[in-house]
Amino acid sequence: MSGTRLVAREELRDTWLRGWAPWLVLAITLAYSAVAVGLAYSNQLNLLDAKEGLAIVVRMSAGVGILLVVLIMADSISGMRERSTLEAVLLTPLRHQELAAGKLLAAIVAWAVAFVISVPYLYVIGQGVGRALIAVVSSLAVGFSMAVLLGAGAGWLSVRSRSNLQSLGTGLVILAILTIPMLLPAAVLSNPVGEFLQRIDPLSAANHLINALIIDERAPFSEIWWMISPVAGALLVLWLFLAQSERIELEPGT
Amino acid sequence: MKQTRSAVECEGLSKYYGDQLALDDVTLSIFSGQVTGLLGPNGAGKTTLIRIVTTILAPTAGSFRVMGMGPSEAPAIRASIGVMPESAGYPQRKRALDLLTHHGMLYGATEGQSKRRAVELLSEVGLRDRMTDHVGTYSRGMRQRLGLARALMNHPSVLILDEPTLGLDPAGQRDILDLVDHLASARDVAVLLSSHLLEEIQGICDRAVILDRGRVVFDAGITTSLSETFRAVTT
Repeated sequence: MSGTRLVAREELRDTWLRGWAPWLVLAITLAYSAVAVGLAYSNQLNLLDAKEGLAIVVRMSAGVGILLVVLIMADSISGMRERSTLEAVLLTPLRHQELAAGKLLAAIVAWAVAFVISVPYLYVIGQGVGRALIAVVSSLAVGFSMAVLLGAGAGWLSVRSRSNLQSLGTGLVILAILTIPMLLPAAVLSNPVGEFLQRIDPLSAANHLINALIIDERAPFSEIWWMISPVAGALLVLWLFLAQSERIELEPGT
Repeated sequence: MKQTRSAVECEGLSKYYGDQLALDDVTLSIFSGQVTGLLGPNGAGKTTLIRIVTTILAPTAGSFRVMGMGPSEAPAIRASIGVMPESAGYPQRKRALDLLTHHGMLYGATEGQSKRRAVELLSEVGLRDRMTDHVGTYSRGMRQRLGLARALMNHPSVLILDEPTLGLDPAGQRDILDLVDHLASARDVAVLLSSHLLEEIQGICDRAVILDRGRVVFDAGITTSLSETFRAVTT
């Protein structure tokens, strides 16, 4: 068994058999159910239509999954440093990249679980296979690329941080900065500078794509360019994380 | 004195942390079949030296070889050594047997091989009855025994123990040292035992090295000059 698979398997056992993950599944299911009930009432009262409800669940599924991946990865290496469990692993022949890749692989499973749980809700809220299928595919593409991008980013911070607090704090600040373009007024977003900002910011691009495909019902291939920034960002940050992980140290800078 | 085949050789090792000198031109050898004591007060550079020869830290200057391998063969060095780090942490919610089985697999063993080895070693260190308990329920002494078993999972040629009795009461210290003595004599390994307590080194070591402020100030058999030198560096 490769080192990456071995690390991922052990992480998954720690999280899903010995850890908190089963409770998480329950919490996510309850949250989706609450949102689904709320959306059903809104639909009856004509406050929200099915498309808007779908977009909410897709954003929720991606958001919950990504946040979990970020939290897990921010703890990945700096947490081992804090708990003094890193040295024993660094003393084995396991390559540092295998340790990092195994941790990321296991963390992405948390996103995958949040995504899988959302599928039946997308089907019910979408009120039809065609619309639900678009929502599932958008959620998969956007959620997976963002989980890799932000998970690898949080892992990169964890490799370089002395404490969990430092890696988690920095990670959340970066996440907040990435949401800024989404919060700009519509007038700014519609001019060329605003559109450029949205295109280069992976979170804004992903948000735009969800709106375009689910709410505006545009053809997927006409909007494919909005995936460039999330996918390119994911590949770039993944490469940075794996390259940085070659230098995992007991104490950063020694 | 037992046979003398060199297992670890250090030549002019130095290490700076920023502008602080932690190791200063350290040259020494550790031999197979011997227990070598690494003695020195806190901050003498013992852990830094251990982390360098275990490839966890890079030296600022100098060279070292472990079982004939240099730092460019770090994974092979790590495969040939067993280390019990100072103040190692353990996952609290893991069972000792699972912890050791996973650890053995990191050295390339199959799950079955690793589990068999884990059971054998846990029995040897007196933890067989508690091997399916969570590590979080273990006492300090039991964790040290577990650490010792973990360090032996890969059949190491060099066994490095960094302050294995730290934080234990006198009975616990004696217990661990007896165990180290028993495990070392049953295997043809080079053992490096780091401690800041002279009595521990005198009790089970064949020879001793004293580090003081990063420099080797004593490197010989267990003689009266060992205690005189140690007293001189600690007063």
